[in-house]
Amino acid sequence: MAARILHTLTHNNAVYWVTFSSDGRRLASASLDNTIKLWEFSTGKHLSTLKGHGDGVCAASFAPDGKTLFSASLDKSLRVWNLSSGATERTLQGHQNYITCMAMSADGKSLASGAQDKQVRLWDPSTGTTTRVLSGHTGFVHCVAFSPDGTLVASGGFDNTIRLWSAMDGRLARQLEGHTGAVEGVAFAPDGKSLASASADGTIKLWDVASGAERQALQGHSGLVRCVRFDNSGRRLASGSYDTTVKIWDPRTGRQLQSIRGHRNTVYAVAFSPDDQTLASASFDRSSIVWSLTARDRQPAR
Amino acid sequence: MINIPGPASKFCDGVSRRSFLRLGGLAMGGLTLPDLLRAEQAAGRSRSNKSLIMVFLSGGAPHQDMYDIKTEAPLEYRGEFQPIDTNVSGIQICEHLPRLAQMMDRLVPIRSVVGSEGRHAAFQCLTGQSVRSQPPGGWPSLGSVVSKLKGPVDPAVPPFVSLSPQMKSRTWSDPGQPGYCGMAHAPFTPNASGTADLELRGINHRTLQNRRKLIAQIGRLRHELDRNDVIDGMDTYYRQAFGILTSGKLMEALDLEREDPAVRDRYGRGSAEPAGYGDAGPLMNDYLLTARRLVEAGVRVVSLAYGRWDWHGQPHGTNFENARDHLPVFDQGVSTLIEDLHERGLSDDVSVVVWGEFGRTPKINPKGGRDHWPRVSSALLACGGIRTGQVIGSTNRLGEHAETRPVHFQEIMATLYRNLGIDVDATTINDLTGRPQYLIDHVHHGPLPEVV
Repeated sequence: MAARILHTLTHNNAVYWVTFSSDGRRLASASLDNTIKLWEFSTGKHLSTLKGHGDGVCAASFAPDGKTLFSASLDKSLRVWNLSSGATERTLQGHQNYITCMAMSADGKSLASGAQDKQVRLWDPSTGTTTRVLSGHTGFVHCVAFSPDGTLVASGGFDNTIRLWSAMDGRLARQLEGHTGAVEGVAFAPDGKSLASASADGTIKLWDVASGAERQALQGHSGLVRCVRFDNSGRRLASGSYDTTVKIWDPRTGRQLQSIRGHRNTVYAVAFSPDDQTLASASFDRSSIVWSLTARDRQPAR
Repeated sequence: MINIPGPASKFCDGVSRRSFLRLGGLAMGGLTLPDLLRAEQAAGRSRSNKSLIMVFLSGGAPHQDMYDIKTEAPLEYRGEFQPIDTNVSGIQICEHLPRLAQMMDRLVPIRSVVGSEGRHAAFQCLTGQSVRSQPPGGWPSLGSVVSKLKGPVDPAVPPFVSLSPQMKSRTWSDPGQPGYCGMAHAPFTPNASGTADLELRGINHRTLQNRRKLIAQIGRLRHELDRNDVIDGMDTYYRQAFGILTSGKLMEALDLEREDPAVRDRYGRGSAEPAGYGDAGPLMNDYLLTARRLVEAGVRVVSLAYGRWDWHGQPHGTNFENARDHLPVFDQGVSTLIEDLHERGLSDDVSVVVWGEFGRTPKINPKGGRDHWPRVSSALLACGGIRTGQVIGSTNRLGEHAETRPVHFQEIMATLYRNLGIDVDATTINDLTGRPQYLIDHVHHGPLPEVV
């Protein structure tokens, strides 16, 4: 089923990440062209470009107040950007290899990053310091996420496992095994009780956070699943894949609700707008697409 | 450096004594254009319009993901792409090259190129030689050889042009070294750093974006200089240099704003930005169109770096993600170039070669990429009056080595020289010690009998 395209936002190279500001008025896209671009949601107008990273930018998050943006890059650093001036306020260094993922806690006071040095690092962006180094993965770390209450960090990677860490003391709380391929994406449900994971084995798995039990495996993508994200209500799950589609699922039943076509290459990231009416997807095809998800915009596939 | 002096104590009308036109080298290997012209004058030249467009796929394209899908290999070798039929029965190529598939009767994929020295460099594609044990002066690139032996078709048009931009990797952006042919035969490189020094009074290099305006201003300037008898004071070679710069022929060929926008769209335009992460050639189909315009204008050899094909895998995208990014653009650009040459009646006179420095590892690595594999690679030939609609050579089941008809780099070079009217068995050029050097190892390698 098709979804209506609101905007197509382009970079000079693959787009690795897209995210909305907390007020939904802006988007940020992060690219292998080493930049982050800011866009106006209502018009799709390009507002500015943040330049400074020395390699591809793998993730970005608006701080809750919308005045600052955090980014992580293959250049092994994270940056804190002042969005008024476009200048880098702080550079966070510590990883010894390509950083591949980053997440921000809901209060914006902590960052988590994962890298090809097999580490997960927690950071205080206000000081630029590492607060915890979480070691244990036996392969590259590919994805990280904070639980909504900020007490847990989930990470996944090439060792096919998902690890749940205490953000307070850095202890490994639980290790989730079951995927038969690298874990490429993780996301907590808004109530913090469920975790979704996307994998190179072509499946999405849903886990019970408290017990670590696997609840469901969602099958439908025809290739590696690269990313997964719950909407703000917890009633829908979006995923992106090497098969170039974005799929929308009902996490309670595991049923596929929509399969959205439009990208020409792997979908690297998906993000719901704060009002859940819109979805943005980032792709290796050098574009981010902003899709309308309202019922009236659901059209039969052509 | 060209300095156009004005009258001793006063400004010319509209022209000051200050140099108004400084070309930082015109990227001719540091020689000024007048010096170049003097050197060319030193030898008589024959004239013919055989020409070559060489497309260098910087980084080493995956041979098994383009023209040689290994359908019988396990998935971890074969990869993710399917083969498609072409318009020649029995030949299949990658599903992401549908346009080239529909013109296979005009192409010669070579699946078994051997002899790579394994360096990330354009040198071997440009010269056919290894960097090791070079003769005094160094091996010249094919374009420099042609420049020396054939000279320009038109005095206003350099015989050898490279459209490669300057990249951080000098070996990738190598436009073609003149070697022992001498600096006079270095290529003109309009996309390299020389154009940054191009300044006209009131115009700077940014104005090259609007070449029409530039040409009009040159025209007004020339008129002013003529009025003030400045040109008469220049020696022959300055006049010739000035003629090249102001005759318009070269600049018109470079000026794509003069081209039908529909033709530019057909080629696919592209972006001058580096194609891949970090350092790379551009996926600039406009350069393929420019190459066609240049050979029409009389350039004998045009080389250009195209894309970044060095796909080692994550975190810079897998081999297959990068291929899905590059191949459609490549397919559109190269197929359109070849069609265009045929439509314009140039296909017998203009040879096209598309190749890179090596192939890529048969087994996909854990990061979803392929690494360097000098043991075998692929190339594509078209036009130039060769027999097309055939594949030359094959690799083994896993794509590891040439199984039938290994084709050495120098056989391809010998074929290109032959198409340009140069017999590698009979042609030598003296190196800097005066010793005659054959262009390739002609004892062991000659033009491909399958195509000539």
